[in-house]
Amino acid sequence: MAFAHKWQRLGHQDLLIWGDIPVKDKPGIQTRVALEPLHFACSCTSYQHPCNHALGLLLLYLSKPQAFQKIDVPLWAQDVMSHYDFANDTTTDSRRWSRIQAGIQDLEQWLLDSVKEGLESLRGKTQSFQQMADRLVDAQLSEVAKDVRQLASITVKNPNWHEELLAALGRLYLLVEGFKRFDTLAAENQADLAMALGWLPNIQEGYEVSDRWHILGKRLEVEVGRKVQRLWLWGESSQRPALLVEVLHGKKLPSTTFLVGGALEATLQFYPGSTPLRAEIMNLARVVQPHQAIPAFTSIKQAVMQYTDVKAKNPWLKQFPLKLQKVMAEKRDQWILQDSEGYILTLPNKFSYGWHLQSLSSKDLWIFGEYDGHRLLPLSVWGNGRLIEMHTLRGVS
Amino acid sequence: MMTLYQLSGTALLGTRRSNLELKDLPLNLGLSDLSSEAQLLAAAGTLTLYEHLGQLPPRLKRPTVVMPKEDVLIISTLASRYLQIMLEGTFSDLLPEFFVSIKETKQRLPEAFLPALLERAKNMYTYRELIQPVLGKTGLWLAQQNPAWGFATALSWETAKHDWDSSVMLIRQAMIKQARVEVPSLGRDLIESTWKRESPTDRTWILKTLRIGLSMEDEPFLEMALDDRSHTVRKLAAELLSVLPESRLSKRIEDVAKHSFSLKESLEYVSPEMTPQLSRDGISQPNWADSERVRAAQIVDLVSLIHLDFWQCTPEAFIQSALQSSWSAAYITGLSSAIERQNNITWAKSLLSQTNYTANALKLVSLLEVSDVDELLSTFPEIQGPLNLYPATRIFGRWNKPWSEAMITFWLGLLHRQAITFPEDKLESSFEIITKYMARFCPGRLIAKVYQDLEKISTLGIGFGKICLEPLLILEFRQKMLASLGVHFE
Repeated sequence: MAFAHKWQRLGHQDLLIWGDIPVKDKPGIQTRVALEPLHFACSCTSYQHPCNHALGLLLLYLSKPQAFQKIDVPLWAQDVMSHYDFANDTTTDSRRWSRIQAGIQDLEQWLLDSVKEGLESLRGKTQSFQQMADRLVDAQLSEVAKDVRQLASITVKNPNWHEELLAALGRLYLLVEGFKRFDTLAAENQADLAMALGWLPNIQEGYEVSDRWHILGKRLEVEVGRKVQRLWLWGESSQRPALLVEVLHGKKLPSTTFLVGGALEATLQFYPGSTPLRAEIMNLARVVQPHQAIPAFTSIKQAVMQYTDVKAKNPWLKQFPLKLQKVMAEKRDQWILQDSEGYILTLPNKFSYGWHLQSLSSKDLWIFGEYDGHRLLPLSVWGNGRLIEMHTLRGVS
Repeated sequence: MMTLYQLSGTALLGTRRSNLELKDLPLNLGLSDLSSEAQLLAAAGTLTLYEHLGQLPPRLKRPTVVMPKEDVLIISTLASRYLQIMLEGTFSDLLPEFFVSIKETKQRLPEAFLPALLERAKNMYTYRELIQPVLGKTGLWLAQQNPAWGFATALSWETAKHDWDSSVMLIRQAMIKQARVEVPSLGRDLIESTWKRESPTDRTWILKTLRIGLSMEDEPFLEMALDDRSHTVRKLAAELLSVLPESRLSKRIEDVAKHSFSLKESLEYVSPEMTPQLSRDGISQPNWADSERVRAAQIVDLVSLIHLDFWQCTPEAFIQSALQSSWSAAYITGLSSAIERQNNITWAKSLLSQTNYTANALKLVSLLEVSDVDELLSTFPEIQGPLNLYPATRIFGRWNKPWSEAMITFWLGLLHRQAITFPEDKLESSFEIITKYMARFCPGRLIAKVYQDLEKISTLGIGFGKICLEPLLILEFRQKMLASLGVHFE
């Protein structure tokens, strides 16, 4: 794949390279590589990531850059770009910006119409949410589309559905209002908002942190046409969380290089934001195997207060990493975690691992999960001398 | 202060139908220039965030749960990794050995695995027996918290009835087996509590479980089942009653047998007069044109229902006499069923050897003990001809129980001989099955030696390499798994 004659069109633009390989009687294979931060994408069906095409393209660029022409980025290659920097306003960014603007306007109108006609008119109409979500995907607002798609489930079998739906619509409206005032926001808030909309802000200097990063949890979400894997890390010295995100299109499987329970001695480059969480690996020295659970909150109240501090700065934050220890799991109407002061955190409805947590409560339960302000979704738990991913235990209904 | 709930009233009807009144908002949002829809959404979004950020987590009275203190050590982290591998399906048939070894080394299961194992045991009685001793105090405490795991604690009518009334057949089967093993009368009571509303299919499997712990106390219920509408249920009830020499059915069959059979040089049979009672007791009365087939069917039924003590002669004498008869096939089939039901090892060994291990008798292998197989091996002639026809191969093909050293030496010798004599021959799949049984059931102290010998055999031909591959993997896994539990052999 690292030979120019294998490729039909080879192009580059700033830190993005792309090319396509013709396939007889079928659509060609479209491959693109973002060079900084390094990111691969390809339309092939290979389960390997990066695939042979992406590696070949990169090797070809490194050995023969003159084979790549500086031309406009084709639409299909834009998904790996991490720009939201409108100040630079390249042709591609400008086109994408226009699409996003149109998508946000569309969303605003839909929200206004919804409360004008009354929430009752939306009840049980999954199609209405789905259609709006599809339009948002077309406008490259996949993160917002996901939120809209989830609204449909609120209206089903829920006595407080109208209150919950209004709250969710209100949150979306704040996003719309934030976008309309984008230019007036502080740089960190712009970055927060950009990520809430599904862009990645440009990585900037001064956000690098070298540490031993403990891999605390992993979550794979399957969305329409893609998979998103979130890997949560915790810096041993810096005492801060970090989030690595891997987006996979088609049938590609997430990388299994980093295992929960391990640790990376690495430098991470954080994306800007009011409380930077999302990061990329800049320099990985080695992977090590820690033997102890790292300290966690023993008080649910303190843990939640830390969350509210961060949420107050970034109202668009969706998931926040929480680690707790010396708590107990108990089954009430649904599973809860309770600390020694009696404060509780609710676990998700139909949570299948409550009995596992209760069983482990016989020791000091150490647990890590994603908190969304309402519920904690446990991702890993300390048991038998190691960190265990929740989903590797067999769920019990 | 205005709440989200108040706003949701207007939102539910829509601003077109309901006027929006914003008052007592916690923040000055400066919304007056916006449309009422925008005001409503902005107020809702801000209130949500405001309420969300201002709230402390709920606080409840802390329960006075006292988790039990353990005094038994948990298995090592490495051993729990092997457990995880087996639970995910790799070498899962070694789980019983794993649990037994945990018990023998006086350890217990890790807490994280308890729910999954209790859940597995809920559907499979074999696991109930195996995990119960290694659950530890935590496991037993946990089982008390979940009514679905009541089986792990002392069995009571309530816990048994909870499972028995389940709509899941696997749970019902596991419970009735446990009840019959621990308190047979409880099992029978469970069966009687729902017998009338069970379907004929369910009645069939339910009745089969009465084989466990069968006693004369079950006789009245089984006698009643002889009048069931389902032919299969009636037949099964008769089979169970025939195992009890004191049962009314056994006595009735004995009376018929006295007039129907005479044991001379060959076994002679005179058909009894068919009565409704005989039919009720499980003797076929098929409406076939071929009278010989009808007679053969009756012989099979009758012989299978007669208690072995009735014949009052040695097994060898009876079987010889049966083999001399022109109805030998029917006698052997009926006798084989009787021996199996009555679990008579002496008769089983005799029938196996006198019939040269034919298919009809081979099911009796499951009744034998290791020492019985060792004894049989010494009687086998020198091997001649193909290995698959050799009696030991047929016995080993059904032997999924612990292997003795003599059996292992015998089978490895046969394999080695085959490999030397016919290295290029296509090998029967049964050879691989037998070798896997041997790998799985050889005693722990012999694992290393068997591994060495099998490894040598695997190099003697391509086919042998193939059949030895999985058994070698099993042996390696077993060795590491047992070592992780601290089981070591000199």
